[in-house]
Amino acid sequence: MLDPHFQYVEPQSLEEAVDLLGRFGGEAVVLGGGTMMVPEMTSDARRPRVAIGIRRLDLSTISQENDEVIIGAGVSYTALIASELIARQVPLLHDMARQITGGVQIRNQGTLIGSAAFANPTSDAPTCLVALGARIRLAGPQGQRSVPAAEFFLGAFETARRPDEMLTAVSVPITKDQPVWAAYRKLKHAEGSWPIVTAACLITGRRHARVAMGAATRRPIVASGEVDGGGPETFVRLLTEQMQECWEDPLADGAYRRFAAPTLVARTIAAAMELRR
Amino acid sequence: MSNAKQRQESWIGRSVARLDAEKFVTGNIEYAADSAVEDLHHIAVLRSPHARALIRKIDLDACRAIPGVIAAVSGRDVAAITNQTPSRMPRDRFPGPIDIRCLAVDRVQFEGQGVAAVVARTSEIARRALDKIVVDYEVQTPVLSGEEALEPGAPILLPDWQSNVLMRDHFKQGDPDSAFKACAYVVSGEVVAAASTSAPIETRCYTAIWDRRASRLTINGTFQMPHPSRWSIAEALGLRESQVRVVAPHAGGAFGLKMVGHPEEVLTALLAKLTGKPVRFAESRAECFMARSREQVHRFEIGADADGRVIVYRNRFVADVGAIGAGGGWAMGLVTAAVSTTVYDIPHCEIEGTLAITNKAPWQGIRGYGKETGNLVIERAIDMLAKKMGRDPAELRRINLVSKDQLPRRIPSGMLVDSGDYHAALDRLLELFDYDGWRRRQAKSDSECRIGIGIAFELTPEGGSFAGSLPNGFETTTVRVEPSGEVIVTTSVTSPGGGIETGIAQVVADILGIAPSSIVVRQGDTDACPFGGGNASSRGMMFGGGAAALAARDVRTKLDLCAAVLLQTVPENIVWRDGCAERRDGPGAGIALREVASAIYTQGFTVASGVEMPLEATRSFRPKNVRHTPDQFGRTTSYPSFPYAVHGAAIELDTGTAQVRVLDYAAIHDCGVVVNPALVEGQFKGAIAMGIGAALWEELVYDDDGRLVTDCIKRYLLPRSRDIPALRTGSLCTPSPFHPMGMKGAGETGVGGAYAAISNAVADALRDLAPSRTMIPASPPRLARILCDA
Repeated sequence: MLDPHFQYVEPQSLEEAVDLLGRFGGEAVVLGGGTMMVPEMTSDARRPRVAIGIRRLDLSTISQENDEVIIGAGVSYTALIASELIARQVPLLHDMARQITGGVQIRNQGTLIGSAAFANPTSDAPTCLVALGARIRLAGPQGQRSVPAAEFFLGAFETARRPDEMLTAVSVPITKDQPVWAAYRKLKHAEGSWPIVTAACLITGRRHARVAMGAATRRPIVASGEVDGGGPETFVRLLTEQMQECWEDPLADGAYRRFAAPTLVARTIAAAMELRR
Repeated sequence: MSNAKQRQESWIGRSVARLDAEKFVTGNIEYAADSAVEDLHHIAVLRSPHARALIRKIDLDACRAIPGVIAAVSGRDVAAITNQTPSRMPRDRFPGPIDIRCLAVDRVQFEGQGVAAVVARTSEIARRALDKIVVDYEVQTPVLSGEEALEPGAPILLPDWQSNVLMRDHFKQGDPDSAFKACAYVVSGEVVAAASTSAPIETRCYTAIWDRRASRLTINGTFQMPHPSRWSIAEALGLRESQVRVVAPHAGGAFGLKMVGHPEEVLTALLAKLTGKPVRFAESRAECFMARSREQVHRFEIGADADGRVIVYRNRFVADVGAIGAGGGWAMGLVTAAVSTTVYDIPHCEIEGTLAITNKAPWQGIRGYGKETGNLVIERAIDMLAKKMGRDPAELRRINLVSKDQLPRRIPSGMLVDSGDYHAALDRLLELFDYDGWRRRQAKSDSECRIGIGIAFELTPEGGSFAGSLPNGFETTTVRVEPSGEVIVTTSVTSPGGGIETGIAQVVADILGIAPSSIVVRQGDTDACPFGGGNASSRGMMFGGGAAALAARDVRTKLDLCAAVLLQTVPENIVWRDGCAERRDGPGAGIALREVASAIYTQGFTVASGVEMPLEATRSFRPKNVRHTPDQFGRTTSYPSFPYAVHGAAIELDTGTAQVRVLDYAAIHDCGVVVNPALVEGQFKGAIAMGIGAALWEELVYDDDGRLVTDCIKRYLLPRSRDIPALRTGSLCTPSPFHPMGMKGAGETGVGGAYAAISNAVADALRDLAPSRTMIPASPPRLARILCDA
């Protein structure tokens, strides 16, 4: 059956959206900002029967609930950049969002959670969410659940999301271990390049660091430890030990990623440490 | 009148705003794919997934049964009702038979070659109907590099050919073998340039309508060369040229890609005729990346005496030109050979270029047209020689440049270089670039981030006029004055977006004494415009502008005759200023152009009795300095003009990441007399950006089966504004002695110099790690391998 048209639906409630996902499962796509899905659909790489728009679902808020910052699925990079709550409590995401290239259109349209759902190894969100110890909130016919970011990203373009689930939010824990110094850096061949290696460093309470690295491997990898316990080299070693199989694409082979990753990790940690002053 | 006043009043050399700038920036330009056509149907092309295969069978039945599909054709279907598409270069130049069709017949020669086409009510239906076409291929092992194609025992890729050699150019000057023996220094090296592409923002698009009653085809689209395309389409379809109208609306960049000869030109025309419906082919971005060029492997040796004077240069190269397309993009490999010795005075040389066919997509024209690679190789050679001798590369260049008094001068390939002052250009560059300052900074740069400095000359022959080829070496322009005094210019040259129309208006305005903004310039319509080649080889101003000057002078002569009667003087006493004729010898009141025009049209038996109607002139311009009859050494020359530039680049190599950042860039450009400096500067800077991109990032990557991997902008990295520093440019003007206005071509110069200067800068930053084989582009993975091997 040749059906050149997909159906675009904007459900009024999460229940309605979940119901659609239940009915269409793998043949539905959820559009956040569409910066990945729409080009894929345009080039015929993806041919869904139903595209679900989420803008009526009231998911575009950033809020604080107890010890967590909740970022809704509709929150764009521009909204992240503008949020005082993010700048204060999750500076890593502020730093990351500022580095999103592709111009104001992409920052206005693209969403943090869309990027998480797409799980492109060479994108910005996964590494940061893993470094932050964030949890991904999912909704599906079997109810709602939340998955730690480190367990959510299973591989390249592979996540723990079931075909009938959608991402509704991420929750980021607010550490009591202040101050927080955070830095996100990415290595790109040129302005138009997807990231080749990404690194996020979160230093809490002046000592404890969590460093995540992405794009060099199929899913982000993470290391924790004391920053004064041996400098960046310790983290570089802990992370590179985990680089069994490198991600490869036409822009960079595994050997290059292995070559460049230590430099980027060390510089990202140094950038976070710079904030100490 | 004083010279100073004349200069001030001239429209030549002024940065007039583009005639249509407002329309472009307000989004009111209609591009090829914008035109609204009633009942428009859409073409999708099924492309071969294999680089080399025989086609056993194509089954179109299931595809044809899909609602909304109105036609589906295979290569065989098409071959039965069309002629071969003519080659832009004459068939007798090929070593064996060629049969160029708009869809593959019986065999595919490269991945992406069209094997069948569908016409449907919507583009979605057409695209998805391709899934229902069943093709039975007998897959064969492809030949995927030029050197592989030349190996003994390699499969010969075209029937009845003796080898995979498409063409070989070999020329020699002096006695290179003996000269090498006499050298104090000899350096050898290789340059391996990857395939790259032009990737204009606007991809190709053709919309064709067959008017059954008039038996006439109109095809509107992205044509750089409307008249040659009309000829090509008419030949392939067996129509008379009068039955074909080619219309080229404004273009969103062309860079050589949109020259004549793409299979979809003929295919779209044919499917309109076959279906009776208006049909459109709109190229996807992935399809646009099939256009290939520049893939070459060079092996060179250069030798100098103890003082650093280059005595001998030898370069043997293989160009992997892919399959043979109708457009003749492969000719770029010959231009690489022809330009080889560029601006240097080298007594002995030997150049041998071999163009090999392979199972990759045909070369398509691209800015630089092969000259960029010839320049790159000799500039690498000079830099490597300087390094071996411990000499400053700028100073080594200085002692080897051809001096201005030696010009015009025939270079070893036979081209007669018109004029130039290379030494002055080098002086200007070193000052503008602050070469000494950069060398000082380099000495202080830290060990992790190393500064590299590259200098490069480029010689960019322009106005290419190949024997037997259409277009050839002339362009035509008509200047007409209407009864209202409105001046309309129609010309055979087209504007790919660089502002040729404005330059031509300036030339006409200068002669008629009116404002360029008051002139209407029409281009890109074979029904409305005179015959010519369109846009290629920076000929727009040089040829089209030259023709405009001749035509405007003819019209001016008529206007002067009538104005002289009206102002009661002699024609020689008439000057035109601000749209009015005045007497040169006295103040007195002037008379407006509209009144003179009106008088000519209406008072032909009295005041305009000496004026022959119509009030228009059509003239063509053919350059001097092209010679298609061989001289005593068998050399011909296809290029009449020789703009050049010298470039300085400073880059930073981050040894921790193997990434390169361009810190600073300066260049001096000399293309003779410039009509509109701002537009020329824009072309020059754009060309530099293109050369930087090709040197550092741009690369078409194929997998082991010859399938293109880099089919989107995220995989093929084009430079964006933040990748390119502020380009600091300056100019010199050595008028061409062979052009009546002193012009040389402008538009391509910049690519080759940037390609070379950046490559030299990268090698400079690598210092002793720089290998004798220069790999282009200097992508971070390649540089990482060099740094790791150390």
